[in-house]
Amino acid sequence: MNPFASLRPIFSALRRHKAAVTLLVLEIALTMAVLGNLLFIVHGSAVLQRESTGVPANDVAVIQSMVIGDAKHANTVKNNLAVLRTVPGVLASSFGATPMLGARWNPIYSNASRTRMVAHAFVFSGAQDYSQTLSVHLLAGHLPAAGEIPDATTATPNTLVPALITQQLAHRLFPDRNALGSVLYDGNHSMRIVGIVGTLRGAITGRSSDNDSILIEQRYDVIEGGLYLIRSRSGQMAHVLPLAMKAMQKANPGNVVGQTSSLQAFITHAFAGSRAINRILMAITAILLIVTALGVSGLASFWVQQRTRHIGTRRALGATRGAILRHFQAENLIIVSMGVALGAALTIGLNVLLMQHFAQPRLPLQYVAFGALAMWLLGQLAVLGPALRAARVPPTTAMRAA
Amino acid sequence: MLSYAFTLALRGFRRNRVLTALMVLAVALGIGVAMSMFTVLHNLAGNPLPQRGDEVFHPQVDPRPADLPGARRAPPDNLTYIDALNLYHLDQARQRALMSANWLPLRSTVAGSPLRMETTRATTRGFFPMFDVPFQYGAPWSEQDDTRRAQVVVISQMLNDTLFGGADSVGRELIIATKLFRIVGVIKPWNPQPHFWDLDDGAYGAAAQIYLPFFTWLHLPADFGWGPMDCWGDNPGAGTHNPKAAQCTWAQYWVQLNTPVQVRTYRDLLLRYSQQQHALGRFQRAPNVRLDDVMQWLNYKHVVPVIVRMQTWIAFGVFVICLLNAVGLLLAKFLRRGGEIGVRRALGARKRDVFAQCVIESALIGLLGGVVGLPLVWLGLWLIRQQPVSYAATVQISPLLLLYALLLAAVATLLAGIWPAWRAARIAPALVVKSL
Repeated sequence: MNPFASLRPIFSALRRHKAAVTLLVLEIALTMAVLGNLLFIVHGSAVLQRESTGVPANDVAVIQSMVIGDAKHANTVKNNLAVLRTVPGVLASSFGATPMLGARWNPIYSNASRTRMVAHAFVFSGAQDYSQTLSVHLLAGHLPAAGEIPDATTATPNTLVPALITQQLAHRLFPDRNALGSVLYDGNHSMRIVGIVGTLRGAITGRSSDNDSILIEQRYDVIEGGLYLIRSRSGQMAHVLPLAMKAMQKANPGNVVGQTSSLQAFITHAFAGSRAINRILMAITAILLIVTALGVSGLASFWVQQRTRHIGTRRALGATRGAILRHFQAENLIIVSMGVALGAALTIGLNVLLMQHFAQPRLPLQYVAFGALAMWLLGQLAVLGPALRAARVPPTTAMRAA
Repeated sequence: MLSYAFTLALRGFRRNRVLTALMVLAVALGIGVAMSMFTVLHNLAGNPLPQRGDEVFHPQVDPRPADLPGARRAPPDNLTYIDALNLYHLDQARQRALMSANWLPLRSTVAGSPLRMETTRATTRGFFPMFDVPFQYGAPWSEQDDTRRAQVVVISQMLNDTLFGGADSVGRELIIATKLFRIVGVIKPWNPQPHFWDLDDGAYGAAAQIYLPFFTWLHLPADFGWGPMDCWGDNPGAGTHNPKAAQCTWAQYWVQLNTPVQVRTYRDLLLRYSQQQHALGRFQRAPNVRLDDVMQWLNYKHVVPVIVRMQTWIAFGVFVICLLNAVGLLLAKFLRRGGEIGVRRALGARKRDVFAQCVIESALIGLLGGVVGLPLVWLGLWLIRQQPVSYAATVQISPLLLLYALLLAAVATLLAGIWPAWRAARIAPALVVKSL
């Protein structure tokens, strides 16, 4: 039997319901457009949340210490780092900024008079042992050595400070030569590049500039409070952090210990809002799919009811139940396919609108394909009930109605 | 006639229970999604100071050097210490408030009580009357308290509950940053969103727990930070966190101007001040000032998160899809009753009558969808309030918005029903009756 012969009754049936079919096609196309774009937004945000900072976030923690009144003598960086080093499980400790906490987005100059600005970058400023505590991934050169880091209290904006630069920023600023040994300037530091590191993100926004970073190390002996950092053996931070916090409290009785958490916990917390928005968007997506399925299903059952007599006649003339079932399934496939064709264009159109008005990135074409698959599946699921009901119409209906 | 159409509509519902239920459900879900998102947007984009938002202004001047790489044209949001002081003293006839964010260590006077860090707003007396801050006990401090750096404090009801079990604590004392402060007032829960007076740490979030006089706070013995600072140039004092540094902006300033004439006069005053500072050599740029009221300021700062505006648009897109869905189902519903309509037409009903009946039936479905949708809006907002987003906790729905939701559902579905009703009214009586 010619497989296309069985399509003939479908097309003639569809032609009789032009209006309803048009509506259904439009609804499916719009649903597909919204679905594709929503999934793109949700997926983009989920990927962002997993982006690496370049620091082993599970094994690095911050302890924020604040000085109250007269307790400032005990609370020096030197003393506190000595205290933190005695805590069992602490591999390294320092004082300074971390990804998403305290790295400053500074203008960077190529000359000491600070007139030629060449970039903006995150400047991670920290105390002795800073780069070891953050455990940045060194690609070339060396980490700042104890002998070459200047004393922060006597340093001027012209004192040379050893610095690490991310490979990405180094490539951009020194495309045709080795960055090692060059000096860059921000408002307060002269930064001599001694090493090149892999990733070090100052923020996680999805922009590539997140990874434009410079890390500098100076020696601090006295400073009043701030962010202390510790790195633990892999996977041990949950045990080590409370011990380290207690040790800090004991060493500085007048102080308040503020935020204390592993970097990973901090990042997870910082993205709580994004995850919530993703949940809201997923809920909207689910409702959208339910409504569209209701519509497809509702119209299909209307058609089944309307054509009960025809179905009965076809059954009486020898059509099997399977043939009736397939008729409605094929009809649905054709309608949804028309919707998908229009929906592909609408998906891209909606993405262009979102790019213009809400600064969304361009949608990759996989989302169009995924949206199409979802619509076909949704259509088939929604039509299954009415189609099964149609298949159960007994051949005798034809005679009864006549 | 109308009641007859009504009766027919109800009978129609009973005839196609499943189809009717599907439509009501689709409209309800659409309304639920669209109105919960709209309520969030409405909350976030609303005027946080409805009674006086157009009388409270945010002056800005531009003390930056003429050549500052990468600088925007608009003046900085905040004032330097010097400009803050100058503007504060420039026009003393107005209600005005100088302020900054901070957090301070605080404990009760009971020996050995634990130290806690509390979010602080350091400000001047004008803050309380200008922003209509409601007091539970006591009153704001006085102008004299501002000038003589009195150690007085206004605390939140929440802090008062924690420290004093909710009793009237006016006159009691607290130790803030090692100094003894006397409580002069307790304010009722007050947290307008967005907290327009200071957007440096985001536009939404928790209220400050303590309020203390600006100049008292500025002269506290230790540095607890002076809120986010924006500094420029080769600043010799950088890193020492000096609030009086000439190249750092950090103080917010608001002033009340009741009439357009006052606004004009004040703008001229800002321009004259900028010219004078230019003549003195402090300002390098040509006078560059802004004077925004609350809503102008919020719009200028784009406080409503992009994602919220986007999800509201998407939610209304979903509602449109729901309506499209309703058009299809209504068409099916009306055409399925072709026989009945044909008989009515044959018995003398006019096209108009059939049309009216179908439209009324659509509107009723919409109204029903709205009624079912209202709890969904409420549920949606409840779910949103549980989310850990800075603005979520304060999202409230007003009865007026619920009424709008109901109206929107009914009117939109009525409109969706027009075309199917017109199709139904066109059914030729003769053909249908013949085929019965």
